[in-house]
Amino acid sequence: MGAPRLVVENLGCDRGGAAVVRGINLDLRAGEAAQIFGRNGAGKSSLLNVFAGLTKPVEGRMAWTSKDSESAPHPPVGSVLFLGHRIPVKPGLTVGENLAFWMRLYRADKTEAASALSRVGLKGMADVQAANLSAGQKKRLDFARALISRRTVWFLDEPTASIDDEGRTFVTETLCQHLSKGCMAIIATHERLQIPSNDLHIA
Amino acid sequence: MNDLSNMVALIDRDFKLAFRLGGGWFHGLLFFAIFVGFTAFAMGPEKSVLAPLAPALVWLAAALSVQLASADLFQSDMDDGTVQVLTAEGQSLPLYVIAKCIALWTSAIVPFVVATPLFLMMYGLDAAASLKVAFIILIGSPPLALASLSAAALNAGIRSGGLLTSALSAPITIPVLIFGVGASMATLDADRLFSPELSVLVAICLLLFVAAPTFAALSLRLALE
Repeated sequence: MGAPRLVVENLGCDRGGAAVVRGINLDLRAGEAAQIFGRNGAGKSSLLNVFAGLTKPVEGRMAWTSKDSESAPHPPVGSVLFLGHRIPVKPGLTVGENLAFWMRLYRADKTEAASALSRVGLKGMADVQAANLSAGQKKRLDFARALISRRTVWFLDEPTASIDDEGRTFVTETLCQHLSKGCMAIIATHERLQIPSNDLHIA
Repeated sequence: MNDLSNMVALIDRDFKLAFRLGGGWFHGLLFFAIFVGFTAFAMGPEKSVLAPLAPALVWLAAALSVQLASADLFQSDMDDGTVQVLTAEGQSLPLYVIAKCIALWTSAIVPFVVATPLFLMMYGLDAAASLKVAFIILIGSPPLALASLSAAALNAGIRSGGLLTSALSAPITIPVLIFGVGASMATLDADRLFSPELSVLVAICLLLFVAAPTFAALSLRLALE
């Protein structure tokens, strides 16, 4: 397992037609992480969306390279995990059913899903209606996606929002394990995570 | 959605959501029954009045029921970030749209199409004629759904509610209605199932099978930007 390399030169992005981020440079290799810091509305999520290929940059260059493919403006297909600030949890389904949907998309098995639920602190809650989860529990359920995804490039938008101290420690440890496998993470956050990373401060 | 198994996973998820408490599988059927029932009461019990208008009224009820069922088809997935995650993770949006359409059609549209012969008989058509018209509505329901979900995808980015979905889908819904009612009338008048109108209806259906998922996927992709 190994992540591609990301090279970013003089990148800029807009939000709603207004310039929010300019002049971003980054060279991220397998086993490395980048944390994007900035005040509310500074453009952290917008920049993360550009890195993930959801929106196009208005200026600059972004290149993903791996040993198996040519340089491309998007990460290799099947390598990306995206945890946004919106949580794709369906209130009408149970916790187990919500995770089972993603389990099928990620070709994971039931054992992995059960293990992921246990690791994120939702053990024994597979039959609970997701509508009854707290915001922090929904965030944990979303993070369980990361554990079963087998993806090498993680994009995380405020991964510790709504999560308690114990959950923050778990997220940090999981990210360290992820990076130690030669994978990559790009994180938009207002709260520094204690992981080795490149810091991108945007005004 | 990169292959069949991913589509099946999404259809399975949408099915569970549709048939749970608060799910919307019966909304189309309920609206269909209300529309057809109220119309019958408004026009009186004379079968000589109701029967000639039955195909047009049932087709109109079908078109409006489909629009009701699909108006917010993508809104939940847009609001909770599902579409954003699928797009970022490289899943095929056209296949996602097709999966949503299959789930919608089978869970919310087929039930009222199945009930159509009963309502047509209530309007005074005989059983054989009712089944023929219901069969034509069955063929016409996918293009109605595809037109409506294309508009729903466009509306997902604008967030202007279901009324706009109806307006946006009108340019495709109206031809489907014209040829659907025409094919139904031809069936009743000439007592034959196949007609030029039915051929055009099938052609519209095939055209939309190709164009609508692509158009809807593009609309959803633009809504993310």
